[in-house]
Amino acid sequence: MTITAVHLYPTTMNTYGDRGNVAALTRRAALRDIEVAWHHVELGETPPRAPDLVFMGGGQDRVQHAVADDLQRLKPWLQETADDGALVFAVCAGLQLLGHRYVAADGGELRGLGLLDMETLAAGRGEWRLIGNIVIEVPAPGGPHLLAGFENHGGRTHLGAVEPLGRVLSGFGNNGVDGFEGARAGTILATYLHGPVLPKNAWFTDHLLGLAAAHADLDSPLAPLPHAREDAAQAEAIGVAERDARARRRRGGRLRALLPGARRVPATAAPPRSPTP
Amino acid sequence: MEALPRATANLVAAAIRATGAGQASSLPGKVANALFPRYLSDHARRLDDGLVMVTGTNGKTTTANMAAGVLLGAGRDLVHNAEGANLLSGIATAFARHPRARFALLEVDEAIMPLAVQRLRSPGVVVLTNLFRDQLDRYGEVDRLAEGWLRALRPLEGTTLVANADDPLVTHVAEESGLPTVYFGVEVEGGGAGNEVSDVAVCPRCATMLTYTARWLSQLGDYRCPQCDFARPPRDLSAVLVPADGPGATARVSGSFGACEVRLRVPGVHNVYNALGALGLSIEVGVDPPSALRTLAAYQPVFGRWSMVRRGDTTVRVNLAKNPAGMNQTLRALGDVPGAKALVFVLNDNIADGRDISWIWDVDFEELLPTADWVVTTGTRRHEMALRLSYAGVPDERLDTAAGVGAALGLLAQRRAHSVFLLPTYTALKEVRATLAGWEAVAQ
Repeated sequence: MTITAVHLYPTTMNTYGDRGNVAALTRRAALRDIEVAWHHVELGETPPRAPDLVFMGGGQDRVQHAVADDLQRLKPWLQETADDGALVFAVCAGLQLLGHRYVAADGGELRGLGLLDMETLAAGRGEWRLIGNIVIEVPAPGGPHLLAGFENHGGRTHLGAVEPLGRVLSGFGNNGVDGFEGARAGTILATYLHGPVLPKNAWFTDHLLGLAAAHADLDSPLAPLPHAREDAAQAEAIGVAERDARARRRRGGRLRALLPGARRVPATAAPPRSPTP
Repeated sequence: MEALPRATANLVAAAIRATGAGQASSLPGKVANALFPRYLSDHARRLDDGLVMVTGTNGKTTTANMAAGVLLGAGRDLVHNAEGANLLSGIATAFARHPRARFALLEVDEAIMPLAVQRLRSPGVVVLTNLFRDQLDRYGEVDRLAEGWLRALRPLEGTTLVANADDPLVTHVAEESGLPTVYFGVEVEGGGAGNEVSDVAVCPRCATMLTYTARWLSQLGDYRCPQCDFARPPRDLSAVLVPADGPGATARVSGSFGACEVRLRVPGVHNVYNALGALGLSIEVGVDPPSALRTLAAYQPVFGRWSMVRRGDTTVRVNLAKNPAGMNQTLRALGDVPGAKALVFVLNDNIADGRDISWIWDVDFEELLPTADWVVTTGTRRHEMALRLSYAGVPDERLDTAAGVGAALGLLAQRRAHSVFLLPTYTALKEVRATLAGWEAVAQ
């Protein structure tokens, strides 16, 4: 049994441990006797037709422009792949490029793919990068699940007619204001969570693998796997994020006036507009 | 008036020593800088024989300590922040301790370098070791650091750079700075970086993917841009690794002075780079190359930079490993050490370590982790480290987590592991030092 997977720009978009996400998908599939056949697609290269899974990570600003240009070339292919029900999963800069556009501080625009109805604005004057440990709550069948990771982004993403991936419990999320994190539409999922997000959030890896496996017509459901090490690492990350959030709250009173864009998410942050299975 | 800041810093240092709160390598300078804003510039102005700096992501401490050994051996009197306290506070502390020195050799944090140049004075020599991803949450992207360096270097006059020609980003900075540059580089036959993450994938000039004939460590290698004429420059100081027995690294070093074989007591290609940087600096300030090379060959590491301690029949070697390039290189050097071994990884996520620990997923554990009888993880993110090593294929029955460095060593003592390698992040080094305080230091 094989899942055909594409890793977009593995050499240029590989910041922040993104290869851990590839390793997690590969390993949790292999433990179930499913092979993930990865195709590495670099700038200017031709992707394989009809993959089951497409992954794109984060990268440095310098390469972002080259990647954004190249993605316009791949846009019909990626649109077709998504319409066909394959999994598209993007992290950080990958998330930003799935939206309509990225508006730089000087007003310049980086064109996105428009696969998800959202846009990202660069940090404004006096706004800090949103950096730190983050925990979000993601609606899932059988009740909400947690994702723990690390975020580091200047851009503030604002969602249009698209669901967030989850709700921020501690950390900043898409823009540090509305309490949303990531975005999803059907089988297109995007998040700001590095960490990397997949190894220690095993349930989410399995969720993604399930989507890819369904597209690959692998009929049997994914068998359960032991996850004690994963859970210990996730619990550790959640503990760190909660401690950080408490420390921020203690400092918050003084700092909030200085950091308009990096406010603590209010406890009453709006829930996702509707639960997403 | 000049005596007052110094007296204050000395007083703080004495008070800290008296209360036993660590080695006081930063706090006295912090107080002096806060109370006397011109503390650094006043000291820098009095350095009649000059000021030289070492900066970069990895190898700063060892390069600077190697160079200090050479200069002290050549009879120079100097002020030097030997303990890796490389922020303005650490530099000020070094000045407070050695106020009459006429020459300063400073290790400078790569992000602080522009500020240090501004607050001190134009340095005579700056060694640029490398730029790797490190603490991305604190330093940001390596491109940003390079831009900061360029802004600081461009206006300088009378400064010579000693730059790593094998690092495309360092080379770019050196070329764009317009400053005279001594390039150093290493030849590693066959490369060996495999699919290791590179931090500079594209040409710093035109953003085309760089091509390599060989790449041996992250982006270090023999590179060229297929689009523009950017390429690895000719090296003024060059080293070829020579296979040899023993724990250190042996290299054939050549330059305008000729060529000779140098046997370092510290292992790995990274230490050959450190030695070349130190050699370049030493030659620039007037030390004759043969005597510099003799001193370099005798270099003994400072604690935590591949240092060794012993108690009974157990030896522990300690090497700071805090970013992918450094950890990859540490693992390569470990692999060259014969015999059974146990490994302890101490992963902390405090501010000075970088809060973001995702860098461990960019380390090539899959290919480089040597066979070990036991692997123990500890530190604030020990479970993430254990998961990472489990992914790299360490079997569950050989992989443990422990609550602290002492507990990890206790566990290994029970298992009769006699050769232990401790790999801490920056803040973990302090706990390691405290835990090993009663052990006997071993020369290498």
